[in-house]
Amino acid sequence: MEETRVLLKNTRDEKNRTLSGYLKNGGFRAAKEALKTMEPSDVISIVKKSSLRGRGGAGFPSGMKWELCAADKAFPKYLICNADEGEPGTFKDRELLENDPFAIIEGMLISAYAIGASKGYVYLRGEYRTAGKRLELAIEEAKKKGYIGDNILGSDFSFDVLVYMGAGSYICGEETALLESLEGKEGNSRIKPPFPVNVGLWGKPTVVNNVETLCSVPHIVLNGYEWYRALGSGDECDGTKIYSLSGHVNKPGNYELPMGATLRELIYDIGGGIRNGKKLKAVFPGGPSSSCLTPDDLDTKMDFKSLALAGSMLGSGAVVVMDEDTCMVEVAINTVSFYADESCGKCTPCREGNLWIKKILERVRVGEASEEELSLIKDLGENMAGTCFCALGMGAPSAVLSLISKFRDDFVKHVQIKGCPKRVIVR
Amino acid sequence: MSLSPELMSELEQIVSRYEQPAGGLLPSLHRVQEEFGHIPEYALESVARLVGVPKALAYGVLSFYTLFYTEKQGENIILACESFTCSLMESEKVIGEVERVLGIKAGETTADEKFTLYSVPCLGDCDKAPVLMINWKMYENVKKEEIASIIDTF
Repeated sequence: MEETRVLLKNTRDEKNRTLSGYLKNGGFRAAKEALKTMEPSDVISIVKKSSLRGRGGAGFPSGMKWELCAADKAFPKYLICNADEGEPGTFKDRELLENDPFAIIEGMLISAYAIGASKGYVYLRGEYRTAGKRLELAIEEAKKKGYIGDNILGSDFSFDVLVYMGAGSYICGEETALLESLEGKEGNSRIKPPFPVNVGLWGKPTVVNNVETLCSVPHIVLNGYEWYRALGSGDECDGTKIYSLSGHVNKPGNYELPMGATLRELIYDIGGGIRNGKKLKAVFPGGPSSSCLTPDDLDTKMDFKSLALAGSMLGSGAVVVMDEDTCMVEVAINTVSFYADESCGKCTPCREGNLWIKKILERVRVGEASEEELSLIKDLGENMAGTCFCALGMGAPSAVLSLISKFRDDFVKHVQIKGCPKRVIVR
Repeated sequence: MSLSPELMSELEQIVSRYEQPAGGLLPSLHRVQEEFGHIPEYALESVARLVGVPKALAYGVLSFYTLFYTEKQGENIILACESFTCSLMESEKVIGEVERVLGIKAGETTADEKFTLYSVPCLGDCDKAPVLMINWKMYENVKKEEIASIIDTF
């Protein structure tokens, strides 16, 4: 199987980071076409027909999101690029931000035009310093040459962009916590409804789109929605997806494939299979917010619908592979510790539940827990799902519950032998 | 103690870019930390006053975000990823070695104030796991055996 490098087409070309290089690669042709020949509603229509769904994890139809925002009568409106990539195992946005900064600008430009936004922010996680520097340079160049600012490319449309650096908080990748952070507050999630498309930044209509989503937009506008849809593998699989493959594989990396490529194709054809001649034990198709899948599920297509039907989730496409020597108790502790640390603390089930699950697992690790406590974890997890303001509370127990359900032996062995059967060394 | 007029003027400029002054809180804190390496209390007070929020609220924000420091840091800040993929790739051995070589635990600063070490969540470079960032520079595919020589370069 081969990659379909559309979004990643120019990321290995250093000159692409300069405006002249980007223009040579066909950059800003889509923006010109949109601003000069299309109405905002035409742009929305083409994106709706492309079936583009958000690439940040939630998978909400982008065209619909824009339409809702455009229909709101309040002004001003805001277009925000969510560049707070933080899902463990996800590293696709960093590649785009560092190596195709003008694509983000062009995507934002077209999106802002569609919804009627005059101001845009790139909310960039604080650790992505290289991306920050390159984005600032690109924005400066774009401003000088009239791609950002007043009356862009001689049109009536004006748009300004600022890069806003985060300061170390995974939850600020959740759109409402992101908005709180932009407003100078702690990253606590807001309850929805109302949705940001109506009540967003400073209470105004706001669209928050992921980096990969925005980078897809110029291609859709330039080549049409039929072209875009045909890039996918069919049956509600539209366009391409950058899958971030990592873990115990021979060739980890970002791979852009038709939406709906299978786990087997990604892990074995592209990723070179399991390293050191080991066997596959499990894989998280959407990072630790998703449920784990096993070798039986290798022919599952990696798209929103298929993975949901398989009891898991595509999310951002962070495919993390674990081999036969992996201790699932350690994986469970690592994933729940992440959520316990990153929880904003607002909702009691998330704040207390993650910590409680972590404490039980730490006792399972050293053989001090009983088997009944595994059922307690299940109970806790079920009470966290759907009872919190945001998806962190829901995603957090997913990994742990799926690990206990599919690899119960790993957990029970720890209880029985009062320790780790693999004698995994813990720092 | 107070912030210099030049820095205050810069901060006023920063804050003016945003629709409401509170939008300039995080950017101001970033600028102050860039200047001093951390955010001293008197600086926090000035920023809070500038953006028009109560000091307690500004402190809440400061303490919420893990990249803002309230105390003086070592000359070199090491961020060692402890998240999912890095841990699958034995990041514990790497972090443990950094702790051993420096003689400190994660979260601490060396006695000579040369290094501060933090274990941090996913840095977004998982295909090169395990990774470290030192002064925002990424060190990839880090092996335990390389740690001593990496530290020596500082």
